[in-house]
Amino acid sequence: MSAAAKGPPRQIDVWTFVTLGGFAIVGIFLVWPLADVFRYSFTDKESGLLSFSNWLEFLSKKYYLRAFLHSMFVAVSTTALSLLFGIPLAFLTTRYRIRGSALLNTVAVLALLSPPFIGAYSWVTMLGRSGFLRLALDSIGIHLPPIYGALGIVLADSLQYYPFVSLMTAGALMTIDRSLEEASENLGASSTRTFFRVTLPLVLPSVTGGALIAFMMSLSNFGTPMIIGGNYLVLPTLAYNLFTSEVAERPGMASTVSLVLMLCAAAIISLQQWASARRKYASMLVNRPIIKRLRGLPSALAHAVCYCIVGLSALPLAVVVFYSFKNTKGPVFIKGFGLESYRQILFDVPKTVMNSFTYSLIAVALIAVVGTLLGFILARRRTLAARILDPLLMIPYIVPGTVLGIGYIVAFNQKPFFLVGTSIIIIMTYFIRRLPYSVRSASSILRQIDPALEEAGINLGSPPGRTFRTITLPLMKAGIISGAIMSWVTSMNELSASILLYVGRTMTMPIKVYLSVLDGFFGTASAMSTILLVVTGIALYLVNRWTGKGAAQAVVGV
Amino acid sequence: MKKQMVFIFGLALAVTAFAAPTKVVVYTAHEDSILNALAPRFEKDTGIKLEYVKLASGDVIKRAKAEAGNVQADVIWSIGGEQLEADNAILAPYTPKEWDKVAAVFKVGTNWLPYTGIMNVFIVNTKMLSPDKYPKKWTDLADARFKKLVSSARADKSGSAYMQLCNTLLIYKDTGWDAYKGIMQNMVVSASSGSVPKFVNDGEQAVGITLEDNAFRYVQGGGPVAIVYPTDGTVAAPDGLALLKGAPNAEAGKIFIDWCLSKPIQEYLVDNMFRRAVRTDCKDPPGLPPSRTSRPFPTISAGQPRTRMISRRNSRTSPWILGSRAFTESP
Repeated sequence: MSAAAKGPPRQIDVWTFVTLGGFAIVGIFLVWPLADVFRYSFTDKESGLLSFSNWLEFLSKKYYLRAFLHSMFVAVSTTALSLLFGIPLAFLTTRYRIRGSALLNTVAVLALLSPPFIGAYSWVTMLGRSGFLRLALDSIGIHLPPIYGALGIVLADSLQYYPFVSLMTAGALMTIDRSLEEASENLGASSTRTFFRVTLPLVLPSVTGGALIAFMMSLSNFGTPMIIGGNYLVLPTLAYNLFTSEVAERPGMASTVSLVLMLCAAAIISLQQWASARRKYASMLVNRPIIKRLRGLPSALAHAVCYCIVGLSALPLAVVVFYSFKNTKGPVFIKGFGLESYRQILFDVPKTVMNSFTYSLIAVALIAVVGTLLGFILARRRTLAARILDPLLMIPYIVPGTVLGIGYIVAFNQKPFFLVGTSIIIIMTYFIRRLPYSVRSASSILRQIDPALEEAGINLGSPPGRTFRTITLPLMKAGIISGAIMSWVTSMNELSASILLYVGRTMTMPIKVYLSVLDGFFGTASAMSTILLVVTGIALYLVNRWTGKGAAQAVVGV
Repeated sequence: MKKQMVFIFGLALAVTAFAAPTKVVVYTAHEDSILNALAPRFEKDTGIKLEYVKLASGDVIKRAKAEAGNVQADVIWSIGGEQLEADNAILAPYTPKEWDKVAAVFKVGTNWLPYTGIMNVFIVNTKMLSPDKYPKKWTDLADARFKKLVSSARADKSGSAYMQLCNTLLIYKDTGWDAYKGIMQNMVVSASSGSVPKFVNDGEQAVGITLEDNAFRYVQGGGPVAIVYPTDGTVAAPDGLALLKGAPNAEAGKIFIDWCLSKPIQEYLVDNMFRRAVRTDCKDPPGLPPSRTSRPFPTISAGQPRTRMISRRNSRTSPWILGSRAFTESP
């Protein structure tokens, strides 16, 4: 559609520096701390020499290959289900009037924030061997398959990660040109046909962008498989166990498994780029879609679908809130309700809430700026450098947080950076681990905006930096905000790296939750999780108020 | 003016350098309730500020090792003795003041010091099993009737699960590996050792292998669980305390260690944590059987079984993986 995508010869401009900056970030925050990890993969366990023995072991042992296949199965099924939940939700809430859609969107975002470990335990409480939902359904003659294993992981993962799809798709659905859909309907296509042949292809970059994140998240998630996977082994649990195993002297196999995960990620990124580049439709953002009002049965059906999807994903949260009010005696839940669990954590609440907010907000401010600039390069400047940078920026998705945490302790506890024990190091972890969301979100939205608008600016004599500021940036606002919200919510929830880097005064909410789980005190863990949910919910609500729009629109960023 | 400032600043530095220790930094796996009680008590007793970082026991070691180039903490407090033994290169030996009061059975050396004694026991769900169906000894856990009903953690990750393996090896000697493999066939491995009794309490699994004090908290809380002491014996292994090599506040660290091993603190731990004291002059926890009734009571002379296990590990192709595969493949 446009020449810009092919990358005409250009001279050094501001984007050259941004590209260099991107490599500097990858170098300092990822490659340097993780260099050891990568090196181990190519080092022989026994001799310590350069070798491919770890890779041969991976390829020759059924044990690893099976974990690999399990991982693929889980990630692909999760992605498919996320699309199945996310697309209808996004379409219905952006195109039709759904009562309480503001609430629906907020709850969907909160579902992303399934508190560490607790979310998976909630599913056990509901559908485990003695789960209350299972017992209730058993008593009316419905027998569910056991939750432990692939089924449970896919269920929990997809209900947690579908908001990535729904958020990004909704953002895109609101920026496409209405006249295209109208033309299709005027030419006699049914609305179903219009949806599949016109609307969906138009938002494909964002749909696949969201699907990519869901895929990556479920590919790299180890918490859920660890708790409800039973003995169903997947690559991240394998990598995590190998890395954290106390008897592993050289993490050769562990880093090999991580590199395999990274290769999968790189392959999927290429696939997504191919899918979104094959058909390019960009919008001038002139004719935005309108929200229709449904009546009668269609309206009831639309409501039912939306509420079912969001309701299911909110179930684990509801369980957490419920248990936070249950009375406890030591680690055991007893009859009756009260505020005992809250009383026990009262002392830690102000500090941890403050820390979580301060760190995540600073990180998100940085992420929004850097992510937007890098997203622009990935979408608009298809240079070799940008192509290399793209998968590199996905490393944070795949490297287990624990590994990054250990890398950071070693790298930033020596000259010239003495950062261990400071809040800076926690902010740095948030920044690097959540940067990919913003990069992805910004580049997806850009692929949907017609570069002709920017070219017009440049043709009129505006330098690239200024064109970006005055033309591109306002057009990208939707993508930037939705990316920032995803980064923020997931930063608030970061655990696996910060747990290794925190000191008493830099404790955050998820760390507190995890430490309660560690002690076996699920009452206090639920109470802290509830506080985490409530403050995040309030913050999202306030963002909506400040931006002066309805909750639904601000969440999807339009 | 500027000179004066420099002088005052220098004086302040000098004073801090020679003054009595003012703070100690501790990495610990202790439970919150204990920390909330003991930290203020230490500060009151000694006037030294206690800054603690609570982590999973495996993370304590990982973090201390990663920081070895520029040590940030002074003392490691309450993580498995065998974990400390395995990484004693980062520890500094120290002989505490009341070393003669510590039971000889727990002593392994002075690289790290025994802090409390912990036993591995079975926790059973009383709704799922009647008393005659309880497992009595370790090998009972390999029975087909407990298929996928035994809750435990990974022996290569969790200190307590590692102790269970050592326990089986110590009791069954040459057949120990096969015995443990049999138990593993029935295991559902949970993410952390702390969640093992929780899963049994919630009726997700019928039997768990866990630490006595963890299990007892569920009994005390009124959960549908009971403790079973294996009749073929169980191991009481110490969890430890250790001074870190290169500790920035080593003097304060030593004061802290002496304080932890003092009689009032050991008695507090016995009464409130249901741990066994390492001192010879303390009683057993209230509500738990005296140590002598649970049959042979050898201490892991830590390190030794680990060496054995690791050499075993190298002699075969990763038995851990073989082991995990064994139970992954069980239909």
